[in-house]
Amino acid sequence: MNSFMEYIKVGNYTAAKLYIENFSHQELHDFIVGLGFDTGSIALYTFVALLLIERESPYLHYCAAVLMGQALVYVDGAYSAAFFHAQRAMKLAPDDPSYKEYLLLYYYIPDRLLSYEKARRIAESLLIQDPQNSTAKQFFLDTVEQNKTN
Amino acid sequence: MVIIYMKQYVTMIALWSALLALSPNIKAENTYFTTYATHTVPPEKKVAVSHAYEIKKQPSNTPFIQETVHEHGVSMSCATKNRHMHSNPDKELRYNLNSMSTERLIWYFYALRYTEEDILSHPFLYLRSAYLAIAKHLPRYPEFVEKYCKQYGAYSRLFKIWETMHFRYCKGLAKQFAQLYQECEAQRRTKKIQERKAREIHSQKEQACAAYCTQLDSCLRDECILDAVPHHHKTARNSAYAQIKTAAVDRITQKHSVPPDITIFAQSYDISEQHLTIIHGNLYEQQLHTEFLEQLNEACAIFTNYALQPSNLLIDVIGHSIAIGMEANRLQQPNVATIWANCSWKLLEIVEGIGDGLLLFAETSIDMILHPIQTFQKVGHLFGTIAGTCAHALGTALRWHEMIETGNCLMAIHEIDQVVDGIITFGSLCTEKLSTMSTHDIAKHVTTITADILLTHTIVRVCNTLCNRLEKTAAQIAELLNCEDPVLEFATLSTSNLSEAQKVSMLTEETIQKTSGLGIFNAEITNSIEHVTAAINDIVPNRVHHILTTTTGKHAWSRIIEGEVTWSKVKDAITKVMLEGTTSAHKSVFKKSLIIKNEIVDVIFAPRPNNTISIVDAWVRTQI
Repeated sequence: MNSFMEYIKVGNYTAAKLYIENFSHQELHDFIVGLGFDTGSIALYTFVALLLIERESPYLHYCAAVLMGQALVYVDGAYSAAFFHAQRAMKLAPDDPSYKEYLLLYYYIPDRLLSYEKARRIAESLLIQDPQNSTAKQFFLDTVEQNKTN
Repeated sequence: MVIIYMKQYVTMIALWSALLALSPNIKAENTYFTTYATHTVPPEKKVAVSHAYEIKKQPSNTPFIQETVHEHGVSMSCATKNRHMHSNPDKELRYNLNSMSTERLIWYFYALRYTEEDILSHPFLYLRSAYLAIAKHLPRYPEFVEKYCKQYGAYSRLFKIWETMHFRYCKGLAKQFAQLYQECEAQRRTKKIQERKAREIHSQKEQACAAYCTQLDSCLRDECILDAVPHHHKTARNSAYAQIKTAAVDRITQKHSVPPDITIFAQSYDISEQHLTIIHGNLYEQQLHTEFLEQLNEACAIFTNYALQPSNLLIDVIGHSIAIGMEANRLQQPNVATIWANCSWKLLEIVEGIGDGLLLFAETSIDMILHPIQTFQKVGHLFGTIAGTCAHALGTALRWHEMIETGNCLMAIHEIDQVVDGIITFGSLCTEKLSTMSTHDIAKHVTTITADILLTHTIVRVCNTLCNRLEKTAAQIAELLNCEDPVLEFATLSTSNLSEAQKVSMLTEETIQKTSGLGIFNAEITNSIEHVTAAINDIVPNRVHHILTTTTGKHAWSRIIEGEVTWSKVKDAITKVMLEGTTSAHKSVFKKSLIIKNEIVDVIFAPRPNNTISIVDAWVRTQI
């Protein structure tokens, strides 16, 4: 891990890529996001962006989104960057409900990057795909709850 | 006469001595004497191998000689060989074999590419222990000893003298061969006894193996019991069984590493740590032990994840089954151990099925709460179906009665037959369906139905309470029947009681996560005060600053915090939300929400691979 961060630090992305070449999607996500939480280095985002330039994929967009939207959320504009990646991930994998579930999170954040209309459509599509989807159900319940509290 | 004979003898010795001095080409049996010819150069420095001789001595040395030569590091380069190609071929005869050590003899035989027969065809050398050390390792040594023993044993005293005069015999040779022959015979007899013993042991082992395999046969063929055993374990068992059957494999001791929680769990069923970690058995027994360890692991996981009571009956049954199976396996009773292993797999399948059944029941229940109108409609439909079926049955019975009364018995019997056929077909279909269902599914559905029967009244009671509290909106329920989004509208209208309904649904969702044990993250971690406190303490200053939003006030903490917004106060609010809030998942990120002072507070957190959590963000929800 330290050597990977050293590669990232000095900009040796070729070595960094070799380091992670045998990682599965989940392993890569856990590794990058974990490092993001631990180090708070924005250079990790650059590395993921490089991977995305080389080969765009929904899981890399999701990885970038979690990195910016959760691990490095305190960076100014991090939510916007994350929101872009989350949208892109959903667009690239429209049949994968998990990306939609993740995108719904941006409805709740104080910046309200995802509008109610869009969020409702996403939640509806989730319910069409899976009538028991708890995230979508929660969205509708939250909407009502928010109306009540307001 | 004797004097004349002695004279002749002395003359002959003199002649032979002269001949020996003149001709160095005395070969074969004359080695004993020719070896008296001195050699000035050590053999490893001066090897005389003529081309012709080399061809003659093909093929090369025995394996023993070759191995020993390599062991001693003796080698001859090509250059050395070529250099000596042109040497005098007869120089080899100058070497005094009688004075050579074992190593030098080996080297000599190797260099001259002696075959086994060549080496053993020097009877005089049998008097030397250095030579015997080599010869005794050769397979044909007893054969040559026997040959020479018989040959020299048949010599009369006079013939011995004659042969001695011709340098074909020396004193003590016959005695030496007789002694060596006795040694060989003793060795042969010992070897024979050993072979017989080995055969007996092998035969006993085969019999034991056959008995062992017979015991196992019935266990391995019972497909009904085996269907619960995971496929990879079945394959491993069959493989181990095949290996034992073909080659009776000995038992070995193997050590396993067992996690401490499994050890503690096993100890509650009187399985000692030593019995868990060490197994002495054959391949099949080792395989069974691996299965038992896996079963213990699963049982322990179920016990932990389902948060069962320590005296839970099913887990107890599994634990004791494993304990009995392990003991039987340790005592080398494969059939008993196999039966208990199969039994444990079956029980585990049933327990997991029950877990899924409870999950299904919980899902059905939450569905009932979330879709009350549809539930009422379904209940109505169900009652309608039951009533209709009863009415149909009653009508059919009355019709048959009338047919019999009017004397149309044949028609009535025909119709009754058709109904009976239908019942039989239905029964067959049910049986067929049951046979295709796995135990896991049967357990799951039976549990769901049982839970439905036993607990539905509780759910109905909850619904009744909710409905009672919905008096104000009860009149409007009818209007919702045609509404597009009944859940949303229903929830909107029942504002006064919604939080309660939501709490019920959230509680059920949480229960599902806890009950199923299949959640992406462990609910225990997020609900534990230690983990939450640790996660909050780990929040880095940048993130603290971001959460507080002291400059913009975007996170609206002032809505719930009186006076100055400090990290200490916000931290308390986050802790409260984390411990008491309801959870929702957004792929690998989670949100907990809680109403504090009539405001919804959200906390975003992410699980980490090391079973910890990281607090990502937190705010007071301001608008929709």
